[in-house]
Amino acid sequence: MLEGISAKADSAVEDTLREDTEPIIICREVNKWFGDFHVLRDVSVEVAPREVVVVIGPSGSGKSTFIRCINRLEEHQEGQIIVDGMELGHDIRNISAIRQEIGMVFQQFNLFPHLTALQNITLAPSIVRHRPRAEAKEIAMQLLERVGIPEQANKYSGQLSGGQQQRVAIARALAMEPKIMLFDEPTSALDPEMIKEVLDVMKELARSGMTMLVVTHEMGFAREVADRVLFFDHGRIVEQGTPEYFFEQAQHPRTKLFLSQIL
Amino acid sequence: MIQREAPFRIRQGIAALLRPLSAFLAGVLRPFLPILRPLISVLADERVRRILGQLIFAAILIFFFWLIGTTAANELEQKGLVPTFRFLNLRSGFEISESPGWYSGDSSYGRAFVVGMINTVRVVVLGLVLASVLGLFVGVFLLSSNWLIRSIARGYVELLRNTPLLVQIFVWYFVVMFSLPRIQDAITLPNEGITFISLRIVLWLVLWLVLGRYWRAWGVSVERRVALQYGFTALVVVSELAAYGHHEIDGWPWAWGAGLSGEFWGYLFVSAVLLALVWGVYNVETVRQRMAPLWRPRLLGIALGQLLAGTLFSFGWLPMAAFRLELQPAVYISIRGFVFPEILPTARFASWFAFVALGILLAGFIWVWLGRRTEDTGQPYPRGSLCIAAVVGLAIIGWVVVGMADAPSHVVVESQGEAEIMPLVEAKAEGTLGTEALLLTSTRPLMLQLPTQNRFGRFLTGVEFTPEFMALLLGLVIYTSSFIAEIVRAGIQAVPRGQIEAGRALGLSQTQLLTRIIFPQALRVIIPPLGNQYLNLSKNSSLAITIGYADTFNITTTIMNQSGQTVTGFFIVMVFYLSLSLLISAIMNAINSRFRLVTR
Repeated sequence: MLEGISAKADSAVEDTLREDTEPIIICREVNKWFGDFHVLRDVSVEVAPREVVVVIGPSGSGKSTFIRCINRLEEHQEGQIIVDGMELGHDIRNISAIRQEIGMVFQQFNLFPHLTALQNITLAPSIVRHRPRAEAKEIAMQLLERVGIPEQANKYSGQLSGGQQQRVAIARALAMEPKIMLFDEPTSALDPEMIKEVLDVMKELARSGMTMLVVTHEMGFAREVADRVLFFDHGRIVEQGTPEYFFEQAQHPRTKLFLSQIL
Repeated sequence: MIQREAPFRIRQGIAALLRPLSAFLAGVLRPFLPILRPLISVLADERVRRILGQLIFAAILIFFFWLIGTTAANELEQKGLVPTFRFLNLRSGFEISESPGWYSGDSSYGRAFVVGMINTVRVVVLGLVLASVLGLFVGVFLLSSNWLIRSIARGYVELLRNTPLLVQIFVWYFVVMFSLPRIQDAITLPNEGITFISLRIVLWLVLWLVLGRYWRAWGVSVERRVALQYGFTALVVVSELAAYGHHEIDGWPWAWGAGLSGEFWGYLFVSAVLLALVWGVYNVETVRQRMAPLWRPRLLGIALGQLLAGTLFSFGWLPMAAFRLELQPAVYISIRGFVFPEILPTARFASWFAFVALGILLAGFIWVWLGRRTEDTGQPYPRGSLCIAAVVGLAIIGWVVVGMADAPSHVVVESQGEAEIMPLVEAKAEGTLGTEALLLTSTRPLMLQLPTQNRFGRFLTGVEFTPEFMALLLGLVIYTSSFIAEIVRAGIQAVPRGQIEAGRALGLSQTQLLTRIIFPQALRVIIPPLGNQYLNLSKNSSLAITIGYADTFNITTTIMNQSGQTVTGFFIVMVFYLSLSLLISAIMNAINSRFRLVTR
């Protein structure tokens, strides 16, 4: 499954690293139905640590469902999903352990409106990871610094702009020190001006070596940051490859049609 | 045609009549135009208009009320009915069925009002608490994933909120209360059957909690959990049936053969059928490969659970007689009402309560201290359990310490008008001691006073609730609970799915999700309409008059009939309900402002 991955020129060291390490996410023949609707069909993917994978495809193609299966916000019915060596099944210990390793950022931000930005970020580290309050607060402030809005720490989500909310949401996910970050159309609900501030944070994150799975319609982001692009249609991975390959030499007619419509 | 034109012509006619008038006015006012102009421009100011408009409206309103007030006062004066409060000191002359000891027919009207208000507050406070608890449960049941529970809750809500409250109160009073037995044949609780079951329910609950603890702590897989749940349920149901059957007809209801062995083979047969079903259904599910195959653990659990229960019972390993206990009846239910036992503080209550207060203080200290520890180290502590342990522990220690002092050896007993000093043991054995003497001499801080009757069936001790009170309370509680249930359901459903998903994605447990994410957000949606329901309940309590419960409004109508002071009577009633409602709103608003979200 790793064919088609080619590391960027500046990451030759990472490349050798990658060969040594096991894939951090393994999906084998994953199938999922919503009632009679077959959403995911035999999806098989492996993601290496520090890899940035961008998932694109027309709406309803199952790309969001796919990444939601990885932290079991959706349940797959067939096949195997193994994250960091733990299989996602009915075992609740695995589910909660895996969720602690995976950060997720949603299209609608989903900040907790009854908590301030800072409390949003410190909540999970203090009650799930049992960090002392002072430490959790310090980490939260560092993260807010990193996403560029330390001055908004004590505001509630209703007082923040969309871009600021999404950046707090990214900080909230990072506070759990995840190994993997999932992004489910993180910029689709934002004004054009705010898209950039969120994408900048994501680019910085990718450079820092985070393993990322990103569902997005931002082709510029895919071109610039992705190690690999997956193209979904009707629940199937139709085509995948490096951004250079994908945007220039895509073979499948469905991919060509999609690219011709959006580019 | 002519008729259709008529209004038009009339309008034209009016205009023609007014034209010279306006021309005349314009002529008269023309010289004053320089003075009027600044005035007009002031009046054109939006701000001036706003204030002026309100002033004019207020003036009209005051004038209107003054007109009504003076007219009404004149009318009443002519009829000799001047509203005063002086009649409140007059003798009321009527008895009230539900009144404290200090009220009788010789008491004043003022006291009668107070009795009514006490009765209203009694039913409202109890009603609010019960309706909230019941509504909360039904509301959560409305969201249950279990189809049966959900449907029953839905039916409950739809039936109750779509029929008039008055009808429901009448049903409770005239149908339910009137069909209760006479006082001689009163239903008593706990009776044999209920004691029998309720004691076992404690056993089952303890087992259930142990099971729950086990699979939580060790993280058992969903399949095993389901198998355990269903197996345990089957065990309970079959054991209950067996026990009940044993109790009622002295034999196992589905006993095929005679004797134990026959029964055992029967269980084995049922289990075999169930196990066959398990594999059959499992295979069908595997073929379809759609749903998580939870049918297998479910049926497996049921098969094994009922086999276990049947075996235990067949071989006589479940000695049901051990759970039987003879108890004195504590509750009497009859057409004359409900009588509950009383818990009375004895002479030693104060010293025991000092221990409890110490426990509460200690609990408060533990709460704050462990809270700080958690903040510093991040480690969670069982704060709640430790606090409860502190209070309960000190209460038990206090109970023992306070009970150590000996009871007085002798008491004064009055027999045939003469006081006589008697050894306590003898007096108790004779049963001549009254409640007060018992409270004074008891070695325990609290005394449970069970209801006792005299020869005519009148209760000497115990708390009595009349059928009127119970019918009104049940009517109000059950009617309001259906609305509260809907409010609770709506509140929980109003929390966006995304919030729950975000919490899950961060690795919060189900409990943390509920207490940290869902409840705080649901409450802000629930509290305002909940306050409305509380107000409704308190005002609906005035329907008491229809079944003869002595609430404020009921007593006021009697007073108004006797004294003729209708204006004052209604005034007092309105002020009372208004203050009650304002008090409830004030409390709800205070709670609401704590949960309000900050935006912008």
